[in-house]
Amino acid sequence: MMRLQSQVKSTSILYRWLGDRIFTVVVVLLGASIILITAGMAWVLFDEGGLALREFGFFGFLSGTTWDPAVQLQFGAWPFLFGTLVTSGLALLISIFPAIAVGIFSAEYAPKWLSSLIDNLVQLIAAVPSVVIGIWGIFVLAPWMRETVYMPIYLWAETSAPGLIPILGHPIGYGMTTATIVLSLMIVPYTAALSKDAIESVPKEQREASRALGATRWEVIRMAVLPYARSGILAGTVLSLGRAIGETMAVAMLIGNKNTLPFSIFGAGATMPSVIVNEFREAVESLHLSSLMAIGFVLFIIALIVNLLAAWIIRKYSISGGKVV
Amino acid sequence: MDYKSIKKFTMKILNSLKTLTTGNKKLPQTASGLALATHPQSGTDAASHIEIGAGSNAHSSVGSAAKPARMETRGLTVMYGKATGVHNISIPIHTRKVTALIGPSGCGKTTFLRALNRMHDLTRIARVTGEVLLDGKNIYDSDINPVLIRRRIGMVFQKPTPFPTMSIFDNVVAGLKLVGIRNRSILNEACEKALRQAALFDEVKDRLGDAAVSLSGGQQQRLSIARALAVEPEVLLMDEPTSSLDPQATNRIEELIHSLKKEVTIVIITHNMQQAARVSDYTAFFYMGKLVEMGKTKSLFTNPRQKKTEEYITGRFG
Repeated sequence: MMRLQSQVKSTSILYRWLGDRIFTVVVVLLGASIILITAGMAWVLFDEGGLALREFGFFGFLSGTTWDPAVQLQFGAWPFLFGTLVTSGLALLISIFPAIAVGIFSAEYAPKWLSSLIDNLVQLIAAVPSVVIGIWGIFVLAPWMRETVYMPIYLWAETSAPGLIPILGHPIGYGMTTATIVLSLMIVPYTAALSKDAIESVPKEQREASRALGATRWEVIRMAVLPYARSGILAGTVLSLGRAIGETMAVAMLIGNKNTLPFSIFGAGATMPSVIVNEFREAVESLHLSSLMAIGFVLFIIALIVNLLAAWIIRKYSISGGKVV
Repeated sequence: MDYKSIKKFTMKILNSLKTLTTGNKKLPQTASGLALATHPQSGTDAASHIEIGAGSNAHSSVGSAAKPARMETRGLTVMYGKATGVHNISIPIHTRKVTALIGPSGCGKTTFLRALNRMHDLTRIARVTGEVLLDGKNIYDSDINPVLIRRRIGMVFQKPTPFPTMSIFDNVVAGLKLVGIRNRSILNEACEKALRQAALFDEVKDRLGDAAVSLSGGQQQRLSIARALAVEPEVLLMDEPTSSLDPQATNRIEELIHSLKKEVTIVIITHNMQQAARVSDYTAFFYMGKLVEMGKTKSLFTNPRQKKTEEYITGRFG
């Protein structure tokens, strides 16, 4: 013990006191900066979008159905809000069950090597740049969908149910349906990975308790695993919705970019991110630019709501140490 | 076709599949593959005795109280990869008696206990050889469905394991719902019976709909026992059921074990010598994965044949 004591470097009291202070200051500054940056972003979007928001009113802007930067200089975000909600919501609906199934398979059924292979592939899909997925959509998916799905249905509708034509829209290949399908593919990895994490964190005791009651594999999942993992799965789903809402490039490449309602099933549409990326370069009118900024502000608020919702779900439904918190 | 009739139809198909896979053609067909037979010796409160049909034909239509299962192990060995969990254990599990497994940590008690209802099936690296005979039939035979075995041989764990999203009632009847019993009055009756057996009914009878996790630790453990009892197992395996409980709750569980052995064969692991002496009829002492000795609890504690046993029970090691 004595020998160890003699090895300890003598450090002055001042050094210790000062070191502690400096470290604290650095950590607090860096930690606070993230709050400042976020608040600053919100403020800039709000400030820059202020012109449009004052001109049309916040709710007027949201519910305005005309987006005409050329002639009337009338800006309403409703077409894009609508396009975003429909594509993201449907993409979530399409992807949620396959994604949870991937999570269950990887966590419960697959042998270890297959499970890690799946995990890596899922991460790979998530890592593919969205512009690459967009290219694939343009050259592969959209033409294929046009030839095998849209055209036959359109031709059938033309002869047998002409009333459906306006709802179906022009089968150009680029439109709401194509964008929704690509979106759903893009968010599968997020839901799957988060579901798998949630399923894996279910305690062994819960599984064994249901096994000991004579539950089969599927019954263990239904009785012990999924109820326990529900908060993680739900939160993962909501975060995936956030991804879908914010997805820009692939959607802008595939949705056809039509600024006026009504949108149709196969026909072109637009989302909030897609209209921003398509128009900000040519927005010369300050009201036009301000309107795009205001859309950015709305997106920011939606992202905030989605994240708060996910946090709330985790708080409300999560289970720790056998207790419902 | 409404939802209910589709469900009924699916259940029917599943049941016929179940019968096929278990090879039990004699099983009377009811809504769930369960035989609902009138209990020959039952008291007033249990008019109908629910009996889990299983693969063994020695035990097909008589209630468990009438003809309880005989159980023994022969040369039971469990390996984890290359490491041996327990080696060559051959002991009888006396019917409607309490058998305590004692021994220092890591001696293989839990490994042995989990081999008795095929819980090792869930661990990929564990390999079981030897036999566990239930009514003369090896439960590791290839024609045995482990799910049905676990319905006959229930298990209670070290920590209480209520299903946290379920109510008290749903927890107790979870095993019954698994076998397809949906009839509310049967479930109510079974729930009350199991809770009474577990000495929990009076404490929770007014709040059966509450979340199971609102109960205290001791109550949760009794709930876990009630849940295991609700499916009317013939054998109940308990892995240190009182290790996470305070003395008072421990006391209640011990009383419970005492009253349960009238109907159920119990195998209990305990680290507490006094507890083993208090609750068990037979005691088996394990050391380093091997059985050192087994005998009547009284004689094992007062007059151990092996030196190791004496050293352990007098607290010289372990």
